[in-house]
Amino acid sequence: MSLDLSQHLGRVYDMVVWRPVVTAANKLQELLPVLLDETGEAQICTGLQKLAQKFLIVLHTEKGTVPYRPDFGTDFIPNLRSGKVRQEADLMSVFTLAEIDIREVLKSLETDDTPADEKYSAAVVKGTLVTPGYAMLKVELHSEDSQATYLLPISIDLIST
Amino acid sequence: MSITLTPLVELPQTEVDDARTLLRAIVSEKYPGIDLDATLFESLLLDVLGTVYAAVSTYVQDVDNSTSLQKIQEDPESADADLVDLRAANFRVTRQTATRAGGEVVIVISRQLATTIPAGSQFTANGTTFQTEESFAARLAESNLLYDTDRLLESAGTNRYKFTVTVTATDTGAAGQLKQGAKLIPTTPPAYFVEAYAASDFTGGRDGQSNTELQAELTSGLSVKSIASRLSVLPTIKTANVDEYPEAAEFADIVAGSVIGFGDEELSVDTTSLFPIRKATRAELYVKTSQQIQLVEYTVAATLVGTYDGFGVWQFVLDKSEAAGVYEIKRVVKTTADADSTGYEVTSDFRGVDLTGEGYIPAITQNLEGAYSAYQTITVKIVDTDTDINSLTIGTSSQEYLVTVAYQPQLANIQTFLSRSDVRNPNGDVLAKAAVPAYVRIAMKIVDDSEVEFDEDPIRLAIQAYIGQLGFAGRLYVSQLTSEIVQALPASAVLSNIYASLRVRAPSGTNLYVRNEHLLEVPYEPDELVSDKTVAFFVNDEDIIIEVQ
Repeated sequence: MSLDLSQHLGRVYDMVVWRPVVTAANKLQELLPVLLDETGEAQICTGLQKLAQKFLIVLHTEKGTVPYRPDFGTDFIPNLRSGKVRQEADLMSVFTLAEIDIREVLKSLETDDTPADEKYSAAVVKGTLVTPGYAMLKVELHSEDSQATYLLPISIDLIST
Repeated sequence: MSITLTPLVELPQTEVDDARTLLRAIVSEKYPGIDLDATLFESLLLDVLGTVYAAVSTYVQDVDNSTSLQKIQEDPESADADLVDLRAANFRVTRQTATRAGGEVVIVISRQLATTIPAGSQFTANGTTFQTEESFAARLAESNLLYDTDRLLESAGTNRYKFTVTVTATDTGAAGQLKQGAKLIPTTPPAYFVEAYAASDFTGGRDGQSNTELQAELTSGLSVKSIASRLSVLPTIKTANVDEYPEAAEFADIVAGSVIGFGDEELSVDTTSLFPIRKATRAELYVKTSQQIQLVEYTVAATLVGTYDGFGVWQFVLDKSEAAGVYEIKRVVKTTADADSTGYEVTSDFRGVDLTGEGYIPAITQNLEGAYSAYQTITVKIVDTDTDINSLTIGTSSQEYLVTVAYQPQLANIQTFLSRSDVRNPNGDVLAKAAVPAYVRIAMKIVDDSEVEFDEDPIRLAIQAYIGQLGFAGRLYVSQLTSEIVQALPASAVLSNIYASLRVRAPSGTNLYVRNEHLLEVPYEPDELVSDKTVAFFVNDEDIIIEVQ
């Protein structure tokens, strides 16, 4: 696969904070929390990558912890930390509650100019696992563009952009 | 400076929201490609920088509010005091600091015994604590008075001996201004203690000047420091350099002044002229030097000058040093009388002038002209119903009395200042006089449902504070008095009725009365030197009558 800068033109970007694992068919397989790549460079992203990052940022932010933005975030992490999650059904339950907040936040940020592949549509749970001291949740994220092409993040000089 | 950066977690929400909005616009304009919604950029730029920006913006706003003259005038009390001081200094105005009140206390003991009051001895009155700054010793004979702090123990009646000590309030503020006769309670009473009371009104206690009061003086600070115009006379006096003019030590406490000049009907008539004209080279400054009329006690030597109904008529003179700014003789008693004694009837109160002495003296040609000024003298006659005069000789026999007078202080000092060659107007002179007093009398009925004993002090203090700060207002609305009273009432009480009246004591001694349900307006009687330009309102504590049901 090759990087196509033109695909990012006309869009607003975010810093990449979760490194994508992309298939040979250029499909976003999963995101790993890594700020810098192997070369030590930072990257920016748009499209599905950015949507996924927004989703994760909101999910992982504890509601009430951002000063002067008391409604931003979810109770997902606090619920996990409280010990409520003992089995997969519990994990599904707390994620479902969190998804409601995430949808509300992401939808409030969308405008008419937001590209369809950056508009949130749904989050489908593909897998859960709960063991003592460990929980795993696999979520498939959908944008409003069902045919969206994953846009690989790119390294650019942010100052001159 | 007390303004500091607000902690980042204590900022107003609106300030942070505005900062975020502004930063969003700035960043978007500069870097249009950056997504600022639920992204890392938002966390770094808007959340962090926005909060810091809001804190700095709030700080700048606080500094601006405290240094902008317009902002200070709009909301003086929210401005930082230190910055207001800096701003006021640009107008040559200095904030008056709080001072402590002080005065003489009469201590009465029941034995003729040498007594020592150590330094630091404390007395309390009206919730205020006073203490002696030095050690005082009451001696039995004048020959034993060796130091300034030695006081003669004098007879004050049967089994009563008195001496005085000087005390100062431990805290600053006007609360320390005791009235003459106010009882004080010693923390450690001396042996054979009977009572202690204020010998005269205490002076000097002052609350620190608020931002509101300070900014009200800014316009006066701008004025030229000369007495060439009406507007500049009082500021010139109040801001006189104490190092250069020692008599100006307490001029900053002057409440208000009113200048009468050429063209004013209230100006004294030039009796040296063939024509009935006002003095062309004279200005008269009526001053209200204190918020309340002061009382002071003198010991005078009176001469028996006649008889009345079998009793002796005694006469004494208050010279100009004692009579400066004096309005009325409040009480005349023997030196052995109790503090509560009402005194003898004053049958004659004649005002004269004493134009002797050093320095420049304004041309005063009639006694009325000098009334209430620093040149006033008072010749008083009383009828003493206690002294047996059978063995006394009219015209020769004399005895001492204690005389309490009501006055406005500082008149002699103000006149000294105005008469200085480098101060006075080269075209004429200025005669300073105490403001013609308008005594307000207020009677009210209060209905209180509380079972707790009603505390009148807040009402009295509120009325005294309101009337005390009035200058030459000319009018006093009863509704405003009502408002002050209602604000001071506890929640359980209501004001059901109020009646107010006015007594103006003209310089001639004539009393002019005003009675009106709604408005007490100073009468216009220029021949009596009475008008809204010469008269100031005062209220004595005994003229505030409160009936609680």
